[in-house]
Amino acid sequence: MCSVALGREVFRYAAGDVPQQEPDDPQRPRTTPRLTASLPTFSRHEAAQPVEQVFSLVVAEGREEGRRIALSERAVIAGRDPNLDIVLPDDDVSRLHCLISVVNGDVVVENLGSTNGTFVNGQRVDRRTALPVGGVLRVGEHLFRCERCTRRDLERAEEEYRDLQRAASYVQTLLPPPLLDGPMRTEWMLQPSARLGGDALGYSRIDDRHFALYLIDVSGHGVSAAMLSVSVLNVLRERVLPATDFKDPVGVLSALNAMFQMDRHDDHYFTIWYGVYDSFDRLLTYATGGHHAGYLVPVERDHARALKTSGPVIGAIAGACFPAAQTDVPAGSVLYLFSDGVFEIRSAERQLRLSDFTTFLTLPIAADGSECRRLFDQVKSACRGRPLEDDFSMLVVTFP
Amino acid sequence: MGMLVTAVDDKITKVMLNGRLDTVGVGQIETSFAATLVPPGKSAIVDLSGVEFVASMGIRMLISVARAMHQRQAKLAIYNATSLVQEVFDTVKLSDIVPIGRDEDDARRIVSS
Repeated sequence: MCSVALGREVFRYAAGDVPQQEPDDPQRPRTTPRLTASLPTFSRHEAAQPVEQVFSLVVAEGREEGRRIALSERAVIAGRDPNLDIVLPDDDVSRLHCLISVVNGDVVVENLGSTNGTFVNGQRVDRRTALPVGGVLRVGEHLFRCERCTRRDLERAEEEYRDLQRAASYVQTLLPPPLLDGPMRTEWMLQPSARLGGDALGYSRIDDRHFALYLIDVSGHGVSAAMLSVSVLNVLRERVLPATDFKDPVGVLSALNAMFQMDRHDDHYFTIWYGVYDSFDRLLTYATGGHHAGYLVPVERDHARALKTSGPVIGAIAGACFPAAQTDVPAGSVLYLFSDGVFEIRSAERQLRLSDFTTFLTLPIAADGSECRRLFDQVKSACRGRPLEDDFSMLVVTFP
Repeated sequence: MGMLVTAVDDKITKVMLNGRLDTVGVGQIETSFAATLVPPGKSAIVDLSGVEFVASMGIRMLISVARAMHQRQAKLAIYNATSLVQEVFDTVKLSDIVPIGRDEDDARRIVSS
């Protein structure tokens, strides 16, 4: 008998089972040595040890849906302040909104003077109030459910959350820095509705007269959409489409369509607006794949010219055609590219549509020059501070 | 999100959808929608008059099921979209992928041809 220790397990070979070292004969039937394992045993006392349970808050509705937050005697504070444990960047949430802690084995909630109120199971909190397991805490439009789980489950959830944050931060590093100086200026905003979004955008100089710019929107949001958007973004950033002239929007969209067919990408499609600005002739050539129009607003801001062609979404039809179009670009014009999450929102009364949003475009330009922020605030105001349901992505380009 | 399935005849299934075809709505019906329409290999028409909004996940569901049915020699047509929903379909050129009928008769004619 010989034995082999692997971690806490000890395997023993019975004498006749140890394979002999013989020349390899392919005709000889192979036999698997019989192993007997000496498994670790636990006393009745060890097996009966209770698994440690802890309280947690799970985001049931809101920007970080699914996130699990540990609760303990150390109070956590929810509010708009970006330095808090639970950050809720909405207009109807106060800077310091409410406090949650465990007191004498119960989860309790205290409102911190917020005028919009804090609610436990639908009841407004006006004094320290118990939040039972299964109970729902509402802060603005955000809902949290109180749960008990094992410490191990909590640690796993926290690690997953950190992983997703790292992934979101990786996506941000792929986006180009804003061009603040120079003849052509750019700014952008990308706010995923989930921890990871399916939108991406970019721009780059192709040569001394051509400048490419694009915005993509993968169907859905979350991890799988983000993975596809990163793939597409890297292809465009590195200009690695086979035999493709990146100055030609038709060629770019056709090549993307060939490369990203839905049946090879978990049935995800994406839409895209892709354009190339020729700074010598002041011409913008563009093509869209299932994407709504981009809008060019002249310096007088008296209208917004819709820039759209009739290509279908990318990935749905093999060999689809993507026509291009061209427009002149008057000096000082501003181009707005954005995802559908910017206008597919619900106001208190109704579902808004693209035409509701485009009226914002021709309003006076932001005093501080931040058009993305101005339009984001307009949208948030239109949906009365409710969390956005889809990713908010916008690229604004000001031409010389 | 609601889904009501009826048989028009032995060759065509009719599905009525109600609600919002957004991430939540699609999550509620996607599996049963596909399971109802794809395996039998029968053509189907989908009445969208009760659908108030379609997000990209809803479009993805319609395209995926239409493509899967096509592989089984069956057709899918949609009809009765509201103006807001039709605007979304026009933007993505959905009619190039999933035929859109004017009404139920038109949708039945499309899948029967």
